[in-house]
Amino acid sequence: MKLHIEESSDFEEVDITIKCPSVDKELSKLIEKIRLYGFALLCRKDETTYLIKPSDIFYVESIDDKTYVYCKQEVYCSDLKLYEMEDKLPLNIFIRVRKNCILNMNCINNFKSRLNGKIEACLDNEEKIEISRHYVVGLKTKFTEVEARK
Amino acid sequence: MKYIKKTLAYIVSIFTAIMLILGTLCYVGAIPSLTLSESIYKVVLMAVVTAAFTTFKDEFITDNPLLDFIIGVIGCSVLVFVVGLIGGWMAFDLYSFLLVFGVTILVYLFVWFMTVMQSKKDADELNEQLTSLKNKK
Repeated sequence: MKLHIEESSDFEEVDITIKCPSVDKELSKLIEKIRLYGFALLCRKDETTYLIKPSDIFYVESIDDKTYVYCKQEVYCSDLKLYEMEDKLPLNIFIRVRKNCILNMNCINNFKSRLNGKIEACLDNEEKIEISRHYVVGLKTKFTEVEARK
Repeated sequence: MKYIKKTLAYIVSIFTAIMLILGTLCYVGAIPSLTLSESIYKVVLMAVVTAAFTTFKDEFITDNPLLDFIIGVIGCSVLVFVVGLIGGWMAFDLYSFLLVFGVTILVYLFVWFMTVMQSKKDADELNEQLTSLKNKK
């Protein structure tokens, strides 16, 4: 593999071109990582706009037609609808766990079953997110897919 | 389609639970023995009515497990009792209602136990997958 890097103040933005005979597993992993580079979501908090990286987002929840972005400690608001958010966020990291919630799989610490028959995900920031039974199969499949890619 | 699938799943689980409980009650002599064909069609009818009620109830109560349990147990007991009365298989007395009520609680406990076991199994599987993923990182 050859790697060419040109650094110059003439360039206005980072432009990455990949030339290859076919996109294999390793390359698709790299492409996913490149796609994450520089991608950020526009969110608001106290009349101030912030750019939030997907890796900093723990989960996204929709409450009463408003979309809230939860990071480790901060909560932001977004103008995007949950389904628009789902389209924008990287599929290999985020998964829908409830009708109104998308979760970052990298922030899950462990899963616990509750006495009401539901499962909850304990996150790295000690928060607990209830997982709808309807989405458990999807979550297992997603884990299997991510594991197979690695 | 969603409701039909859900109701069918309930029918199967409720039917299995009622059959198990009725079988046990017959075995210990708490209720008189029924012929197989007689008991199956009665239990199927009761399971259908109860499953339809449970599906309908689930659409309205999702956030409060205690309310869900109370309405479920009382509602199912009344429904099964009414079906039993209409079918002429039960007498209109307190003993029959308490018997149905007891069986309904047992069915609920059985279904709850199965749900908790399934949820525990799912949580264990997810934890296993999560650990394996974290180890690969």
